[in-house]
Amino acid sequence: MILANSFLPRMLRTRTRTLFANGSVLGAANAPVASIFSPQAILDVMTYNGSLTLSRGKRSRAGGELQQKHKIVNMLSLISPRRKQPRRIKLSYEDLLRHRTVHRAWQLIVRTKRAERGLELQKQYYKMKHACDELRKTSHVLYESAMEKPSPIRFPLEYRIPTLTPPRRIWDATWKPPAEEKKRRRTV
Amino acid sequence: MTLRHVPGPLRPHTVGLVEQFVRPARRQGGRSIGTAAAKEITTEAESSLLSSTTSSVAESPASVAFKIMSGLILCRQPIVTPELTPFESAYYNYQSELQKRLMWTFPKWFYYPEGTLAERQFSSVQPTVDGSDRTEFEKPDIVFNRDRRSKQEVVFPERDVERETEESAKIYAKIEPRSRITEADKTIDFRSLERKLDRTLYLLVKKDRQANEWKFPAAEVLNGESLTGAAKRLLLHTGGPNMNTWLVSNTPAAYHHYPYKPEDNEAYDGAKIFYLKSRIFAGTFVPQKESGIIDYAWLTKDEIPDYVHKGYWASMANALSKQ
Amino acid sequence: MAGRPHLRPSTGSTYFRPLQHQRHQALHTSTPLNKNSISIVHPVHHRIRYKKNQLQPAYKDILQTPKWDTQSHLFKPQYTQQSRLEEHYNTTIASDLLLANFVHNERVIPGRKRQEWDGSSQYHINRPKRAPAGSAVETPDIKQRTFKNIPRLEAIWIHAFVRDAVRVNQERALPTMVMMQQITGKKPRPVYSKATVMTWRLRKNMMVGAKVKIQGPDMYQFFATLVEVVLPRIKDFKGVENTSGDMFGNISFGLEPADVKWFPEVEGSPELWPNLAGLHITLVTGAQTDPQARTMLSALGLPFVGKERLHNVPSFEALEAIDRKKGIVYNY
Repeated sequence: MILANSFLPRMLRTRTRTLFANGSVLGAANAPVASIFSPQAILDVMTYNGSLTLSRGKRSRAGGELQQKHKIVNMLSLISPRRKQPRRIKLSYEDLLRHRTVHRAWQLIVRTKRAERGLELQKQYYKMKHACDELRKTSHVLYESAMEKPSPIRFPLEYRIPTLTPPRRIWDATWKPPAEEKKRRRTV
Repeated sequence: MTLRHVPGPLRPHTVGLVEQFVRPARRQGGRSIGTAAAKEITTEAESSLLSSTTSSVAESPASVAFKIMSGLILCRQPIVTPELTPFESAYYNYQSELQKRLMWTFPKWFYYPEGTLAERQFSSVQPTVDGSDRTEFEKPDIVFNRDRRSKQEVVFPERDVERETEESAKIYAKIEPRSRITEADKTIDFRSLERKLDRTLYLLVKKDRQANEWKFPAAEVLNGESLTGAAKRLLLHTGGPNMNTWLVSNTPAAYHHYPYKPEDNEAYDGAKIFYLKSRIFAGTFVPQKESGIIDYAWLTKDEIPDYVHKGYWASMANALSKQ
Repeated sequence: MAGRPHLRPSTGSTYFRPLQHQRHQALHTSTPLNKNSISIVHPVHHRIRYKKNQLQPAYKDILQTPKWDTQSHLFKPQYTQQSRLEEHYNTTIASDLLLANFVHNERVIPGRKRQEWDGSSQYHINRPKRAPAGSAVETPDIKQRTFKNIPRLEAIWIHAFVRDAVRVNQERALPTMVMMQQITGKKPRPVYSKATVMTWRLRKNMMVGAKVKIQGPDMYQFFATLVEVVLPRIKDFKGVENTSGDMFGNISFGLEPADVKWFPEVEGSPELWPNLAGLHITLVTGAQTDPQARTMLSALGLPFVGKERLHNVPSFEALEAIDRKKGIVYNY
């Protein structure tokens, strides 16, 4: 397949079947892309290194060993697309055109939004630059104090990531500053 | 941060020297501040570094004396995500359907091991898949109870009500989403912080005067005070102590200046306002009596132009965020 | 080196390494070996190799179809819902970061560069430049912070080393690998050992862990889960160490095996996940220095603790002195 089999050790090369994986759990590998990161290759490496013996004809005495192998295969099946991967999407020509048009429209929106955001930030930047220019002309003491940065600069934890719907209490209107005593206790 | 800005011609050790010139007390009758002071210094110390600034200083006329003020852009961040356009929501829906279609089959054998009660319950509620819902002349491709030509419908068994404890009931209780449009939106309450949840709100205050009533709050920088100090004092004296705020930076985010008219009876020829940006996280703005504020409003960027003077808006608009 | 095929496993073993041409090396050389330019003097001997098998017509559709097309084998729907954290960054944080980081009249702080010889010897002519002072490699300049380079979260690397995979059995690495897939939505790669160390019972090519890189909406989803669900529930978690970082704006921290169980994907079915290992998480940011990266991450909700480690850059006075020597005078 695409990836040259020469990457794999000779022993694995003989064992490697056609492997399906594109690195994404959700994406459909329409075309087979072999990978050394596939479950089969992992299994092969394990067998090669002797940590796992899956030999035919040799009966395992203890049931525990078989169970162990079953667990491994079970785990590997989760990262393997084999028999779990859906068929590729077949679209009619019209639907394909629709998909491409929708994609272009989306790209246009994304690009426009990005440009708008960039412009807004640019304006804000020149606004603060202008303010600082003026401040320096006006008063050097104020300028020096305005240029002081806290170290380290940290944003407060109150920065909340917006949610789709508002929380139960939208705004804490009854907030009061912590009492002086509490403050003192904290510092001590 | 050790990243150093390039300070003006005056390095920190010269600040003490300058201080006596920069803010002459008003009672001395001197209306000169920064500009005049800087000029004095340049004549005093004729170093090559200092002389390079004279050109920039000369831009503002030395005869004009300004009152320096510290302003505050107090804003509330959005509480909910931005409103989607019809196209955006349709696009998200389309993409999510494509994602479901391309998802690998749900690994039942992992989450519901064979022979367990959970597996039996899970299997009993799954829809039967035989490919009969598709009309194409195609062999159905059914593996692990899924037609690989279409998306998989996974149904989870309902919880056993009888075995429900109080705690588990609480956890699995259905969440009823609250409306993104609040009471404040319906009653158009500009003083409420619960309005326009998906937008940034800015605080504007109204003073009892003829023109330029609505403005961002501002106060004069007193002698020996920094912009930050003045802004903190301003917030306390105009809105009271019950606000949880955070100053984004000591650096001003916007600048506005205007001349005083003769009828203003001010000792200065004009005012320079340097606006600092601050965020409010909790609490209420309660206008204080002594501050002379008769009204206030929390407004989005779109609404502010209706309130303020055109020239003022021209200085402030670019410093604000649209969303 | 141009001749290396891009599709290459990251295992360092010679066994897995693709065929390489041996570089011709003389006993001594007068040019730096890591020269990154190519010769354009005729005749040109480029050693760029094509994967010729990919040029055959059967591969045309696969290789030429863009990723976003449903017909591409790489097609994956990206934006299936609004990305909360990304929107939050765009609407609120970017503008605040710009202001918080803004430094008036900031100047470029030059990185450590290769040094010229002083020319005292005739052999200095054409001799490769000396290594940078205080560093083995050149470091990039730290540029002014403007609206163009506001730091941004760019990618997250998640890596796990499973000690039991070496001590007990290689299969012990599997649950961690599968768990990484379930919490990130992306398939991890196994990590194989590079060397044989008999005292650790480590042999070459043993599977010792897994790693995965996430970007875009997946990354924001993962980060939001980490910050809102996982970290607040970890007992005794106070924050990420302020000393963490690689000097170039990438912050790393670790999660203990006991912490991993707080991911919703694991918490729902704890009995299915035996022998989980901890995770190493590296946040790749667009910041130029670590302090800037930490500021940005704190805005996204990641707490930090400890004494801040500042970026080791020359002081303003030192830079000014260097410039004065060179005869550069700044017009402030």
